[in-house]
Amino acid sequence: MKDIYIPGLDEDARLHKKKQDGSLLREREDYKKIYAKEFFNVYNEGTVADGFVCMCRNQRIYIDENWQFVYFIDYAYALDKIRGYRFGNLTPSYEILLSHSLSELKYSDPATPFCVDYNKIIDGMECMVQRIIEEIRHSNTKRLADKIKWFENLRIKPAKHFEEALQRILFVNQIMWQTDHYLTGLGSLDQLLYPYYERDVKTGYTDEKTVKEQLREFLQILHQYYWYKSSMLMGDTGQIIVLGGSEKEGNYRYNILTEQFLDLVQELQLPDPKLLLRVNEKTPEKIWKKALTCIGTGVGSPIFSNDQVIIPALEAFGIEEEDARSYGVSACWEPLIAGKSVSLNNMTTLNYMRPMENLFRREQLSRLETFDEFTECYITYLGRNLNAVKRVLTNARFQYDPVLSVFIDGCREKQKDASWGGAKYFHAGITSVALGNVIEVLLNIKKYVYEEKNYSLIEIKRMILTNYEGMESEQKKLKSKKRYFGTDEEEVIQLTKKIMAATTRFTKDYRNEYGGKLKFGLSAPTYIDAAVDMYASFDGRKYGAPFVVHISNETADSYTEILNFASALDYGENRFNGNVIDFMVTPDFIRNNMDKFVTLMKVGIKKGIFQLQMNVVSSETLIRAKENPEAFPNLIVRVWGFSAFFIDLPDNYKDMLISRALKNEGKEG
Amino acid sequence: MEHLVTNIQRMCMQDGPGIRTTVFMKGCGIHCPWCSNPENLLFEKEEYARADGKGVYGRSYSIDELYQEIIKDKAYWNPDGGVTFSGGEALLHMDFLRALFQRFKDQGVHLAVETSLFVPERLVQDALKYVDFFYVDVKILDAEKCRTLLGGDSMLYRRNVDTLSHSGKKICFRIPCAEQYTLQEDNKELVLKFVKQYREIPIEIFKLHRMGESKYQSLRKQMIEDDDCSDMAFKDFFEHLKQQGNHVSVIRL
Repeated sequence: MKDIYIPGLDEDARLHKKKQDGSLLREREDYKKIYAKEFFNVYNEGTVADGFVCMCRNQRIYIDENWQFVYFIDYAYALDKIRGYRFGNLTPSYEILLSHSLSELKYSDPATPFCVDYNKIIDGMECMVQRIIEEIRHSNTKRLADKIKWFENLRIKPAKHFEEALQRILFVNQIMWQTDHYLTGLGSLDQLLYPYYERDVKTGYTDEKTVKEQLREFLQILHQYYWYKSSMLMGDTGQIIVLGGSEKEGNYRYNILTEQFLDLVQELQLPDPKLLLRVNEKTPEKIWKKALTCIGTGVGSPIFSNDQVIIPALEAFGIEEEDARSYGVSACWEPLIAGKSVSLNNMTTLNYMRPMENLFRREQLSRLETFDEFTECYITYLGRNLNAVKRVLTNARFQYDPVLSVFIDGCREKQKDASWGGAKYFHAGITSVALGNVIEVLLNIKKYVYEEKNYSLIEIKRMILTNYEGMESEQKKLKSKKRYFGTDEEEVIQLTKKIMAATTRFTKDYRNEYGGKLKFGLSAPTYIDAAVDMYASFDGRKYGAPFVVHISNETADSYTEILNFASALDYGENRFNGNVIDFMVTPDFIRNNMDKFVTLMKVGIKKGIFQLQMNVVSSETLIRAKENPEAFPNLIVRVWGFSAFFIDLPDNYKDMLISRALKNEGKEG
Repeated sequence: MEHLVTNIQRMCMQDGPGIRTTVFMKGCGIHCPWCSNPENLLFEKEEYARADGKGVYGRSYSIDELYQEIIKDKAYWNPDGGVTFSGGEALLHMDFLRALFQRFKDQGVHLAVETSLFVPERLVQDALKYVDFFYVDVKILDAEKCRTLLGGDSMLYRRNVDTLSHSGKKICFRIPCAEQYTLQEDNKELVLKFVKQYREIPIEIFKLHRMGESKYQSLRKQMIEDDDCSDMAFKDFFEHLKQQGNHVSVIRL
């Protein structure tokens, strides 16, 4: 990362070099002196739109002369006027600025305060565009004349060429980051860009090779500001490019750009941007092989997403057919209609262990005479917990966001801000964690309490509350046994479905103030953090130890077992907010068995898994990298739903990956 | 004789074409010194003790139970995968497995066995009715050594190989390489000569691994130490096979 230029850091060697060269790059300190007063006054007193205009006037423009495209973020002047729930974890509609010019977007007769603000945002962008053009004129940049033309066109006409489209996507993306929208996605770029590619190639304006070079640069540019864009953990940027898709009649949709993105991510070996590949039964062998070869290199991408399960689930939920078919995802996995939806898909996390803990602490345990009674009691506590979750959602107030509103379909037509229900879709999403542990606890209780009668519930309560004090052998035994969750035993599947159905029962009537519904899924980034203050559980998990990662089971007999489990679950109604299987795979395994691995994936898709991601690493490499980080600066792993450099992770994340890899290789537990 | 199963291993990538489920039957007719599945030598249940507790090797299944367990992965067997029976000596359990084989055959499931072929000829004849693919071990071929070292009848073995080779079924030889045993000079010559007669049958050679060591320990038995094979000897053997026109490949088990 050290070769990536970060504006605002005066220490940065490249900045010093530029300064010595006498280039036009201005120093951050000068800016502060000149503009700080005006900037912060407007910031504090004006509207968000005024703040934006001020930002556009004042933020530093930086033209990297080595790139053929323009892209910069001046985080010293990032707009961060937070009033209420911040919008993020979203993908704007890049298409709006590809098919329109800035001037076309403006209201000719702004009648409402929103329209006035909207026009101010466009004015602000026009101002920034003008400043960029000026800066380009005074630079020695590559493709100077072209760059000027692209930005001039941006003001007055739709994008015509492929390269122009790339520049506009970068511009929109830069605006989103500059205005503090976290986890900004990139959408289905292979589909969005293809018409430009096709036309340019047909007319001889460009060719396949040139396009690939441009995409390479595009990806490298987006990898810049890696740490600025990272949210909770390094690498958590939400920069997902969605590839592939399904036609109405079920045929697979892909094009040459799909392949180029896969090739380039494999070649560049950068954790960011990340890829999500939409697949269906008809995804051709060659795409599977490209994708598996890419992920086999350990780059962490792509994650696979099953159209055959997700599209019907979205439609049944009320998403229009065509929108459902063009779904993308939020930062990690949660299906999202890019550019049309401001559904925040990760508003809070449901912790399935919380009601279990509450049950043990509050319930009169002796009255629970059968396993069914125990399960029903757990479900009652789950309902109470979900009431609390719903209260959190109801109390959320959203940030007035005219910047986002420019890039969300529907806001302009309805003359409504995204935060007032301007977007087409405004649902609420939650993620969930620890269902894997709860299933384990329930089935252990069934076996040891109600069937074999080895322990009473009171004794289990003692184990939980004392962190297995004096009962270490029990803890060890529970921890080392083969786990239920993620196996294809009918009992495990049925119990998991039951808890999922109960979750739906408690959430399906929820409506937010714009009529949006509530959805949930079985993947959450919080498997470590949400477990920190949680008591031990009757699955051998000790106080504060991490929960199960998504849908995973390193003690399962085989990957087929977990694929069978995941495909037997029901993701209908509102249960589709990201359900990802998480594999640990050794690099050799994919390499040595490519054809068979393709078969495995194809069958998994056909049977109906939801999504799947893989960590392609060996325990040995991870252990060595933890001990000797300098030797492994580029080792990439998959955490939560994103790829990141292993060395950037906190130790507890490193340890968890090592432990899972060891188990997967049969070396531990 | 009891027909016990020690393991049903799903998603095997190395036990035949495609993705397979491999069933390990307990009990074997011979006792190779380097055996990596010591829990599958005897036909009866055996207690083991490991760090994580005690248990028993060997579980009896009804045909239907076994079928239900194996069939879970059926979806993954297309286009060319299926079920492989290993052991121990799978063919010695033919009388038990027959009904199961029939059931799979009726459904068009591809069946494979891993066999040492030290079994009565009638069992081979019987297996031919159901099994599509045979992995056949080539080990010790000198009659006397075969008897003392493995406890096997090499003439019976040779007859069985001959029967199989004329059956039209797909066969693959597997040769475990250990310098003290299979690649010992005299035996190596015999093996080379033997497989030369069957040049249409592909050969997989591999070095022995010590993954069975913990199983020996759990049975309070000692695993032999002299099971290694130098890269040079291995490569030399590989080249020999290639030179005399055999289709040979190296696998890692």
